Amino acid sequence: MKYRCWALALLLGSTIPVGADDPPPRADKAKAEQIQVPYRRTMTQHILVRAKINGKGPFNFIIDSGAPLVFVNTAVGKKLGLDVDPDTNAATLDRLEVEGGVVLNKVRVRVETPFQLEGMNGMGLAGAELHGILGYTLMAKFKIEVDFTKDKMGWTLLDFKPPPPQGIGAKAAAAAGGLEMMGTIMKFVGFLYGTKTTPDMAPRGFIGIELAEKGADDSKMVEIKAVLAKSPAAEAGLKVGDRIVEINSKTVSSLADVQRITAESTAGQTLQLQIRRGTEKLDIRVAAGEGL
Amino acid sequence: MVSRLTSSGCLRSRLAVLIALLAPVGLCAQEEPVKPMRVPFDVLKTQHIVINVKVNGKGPYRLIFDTGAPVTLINNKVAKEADVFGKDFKRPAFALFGALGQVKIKTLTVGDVTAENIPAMVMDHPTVDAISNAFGPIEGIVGFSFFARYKMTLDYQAKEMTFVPTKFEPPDMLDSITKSIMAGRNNPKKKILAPGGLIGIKVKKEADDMDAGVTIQDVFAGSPAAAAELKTGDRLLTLDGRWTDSVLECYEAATMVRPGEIRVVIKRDGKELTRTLKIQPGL
Repeated sequence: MKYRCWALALLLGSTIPVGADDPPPRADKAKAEQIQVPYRRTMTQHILVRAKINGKGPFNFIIDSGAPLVFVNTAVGKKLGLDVDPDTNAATLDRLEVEGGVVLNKVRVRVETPFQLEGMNGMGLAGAELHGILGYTLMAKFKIEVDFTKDKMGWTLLDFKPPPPQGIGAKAAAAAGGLEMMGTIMKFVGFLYGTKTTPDMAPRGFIGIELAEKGADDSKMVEIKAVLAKSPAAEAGLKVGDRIVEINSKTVSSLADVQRITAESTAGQTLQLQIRRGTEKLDIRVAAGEGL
Repeated sequence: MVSRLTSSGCLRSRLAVLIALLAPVGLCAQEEPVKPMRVPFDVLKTQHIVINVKVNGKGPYRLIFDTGAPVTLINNKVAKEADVFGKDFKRPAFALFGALGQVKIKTLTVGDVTAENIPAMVMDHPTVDAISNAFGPIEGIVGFSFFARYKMTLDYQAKEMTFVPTKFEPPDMLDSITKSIMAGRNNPKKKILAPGGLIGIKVKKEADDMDAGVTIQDVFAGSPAAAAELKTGDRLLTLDGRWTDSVLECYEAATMVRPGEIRVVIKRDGKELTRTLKIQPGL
């Protein structure tokens, strides 16, 4: 399993050559302040950002210096009705907005589905559907800072017109083309495995309490600091000052415990709380509601 | 299925032993400088970034630096010269593109930056070969398993990268993929989006509502949202810089917040307003 995984993984997300040349991109003007761009790591350890194209989306893009251009996959290109040059697959996006506040106008892109994307989507490897790649022509316009202990990247617009990438020539590209079939193979494997590109999601249930940790190391407890009016907590009779001893028969001694124990409970499910109120011990059932 | 699980588990435990053996070396050898270490780079005509890399002190070799590569990769020639195969290394019976499996590079040096015990693949990657044939020798790819250990900047204008070590430990991509595929097969349940703190709102969006954001249906009295004067009917556009274009996206954004101040952008009476919210621990 593991061996097979990496044999496939090798062919993913790495360097993409371009067969033919593309006209130079246009530079955009904006203030040179660092923009905080939210990102996440996919399960394949790619850097994923979200972007809207012509106000539509958001779409998921990976940040890839190994890709010389911005790629938008064919399905998205079709959905957006992009005017794609049939010979080069080139198109121009009127507006590309990267989450966090990066706005670029008239962005040249290639409307194609690189086999890496097809493969990853086919096997559901990334944990999210990937719609394209932000490669060199976009990355080079910014000084990009990334620190994987933080959940946002820093993008600072440079006063720089990145020179266009040149192709490696049709012959060399063809030599590298033996990999193209990998996307199709992986899509088929994904089909056999029944993998989903994007997992189904549901919100956690809402209770309506503010919490605080009390006490030192050994005697740490979690206390209710506030009960929101009209919330499930208020309806169940929880009160400020109540100490949560257990949730669903699991001992609670920290905020992290609460977060962990309740992490999988959805609206409509009941949480069983054991409460210490003064000298009393109470069992209180709270039906989780909707909210955050 | 069972045999696969066993072999994967076996591999992982072998890997764990290897890591355990190597760890002390990594601990005593590294001193953390605070100043960013600068690494100049070249770009090929294809605009791929090329850096000079020493592998176990051998080289320098020219490798492509690739933010989209989850792994670091060297070709068989470099692997041999730098002696990356340990004594116990077993060659796989079948080697697609000469792929010999995962190794650990003891030291990978890029400019003044030396990283230890970097997981890498040994493989003659056809795309790298094609680029190598066109633009002179290129011997592999430097990817996530290297750069994720650092706070990194990348500047094509200055043709320079900088690195500052962080506490981040890059997870092994193969492990995470293996786990996710196993989890996906054995456990088809939903992913629950748990907010990282208490905000105090209920949000909604109708199926035919295609505009940006979600509508705030309710603001709980006494909540952080009420303190920031959010109101029923406000359109929530972003939460801590993340788009909230559907109810699930709103919860997804909330999973990333932690107690403390965040900014939200709302639309009220056609105007965009930014509010600061003090997220509280709670649920």
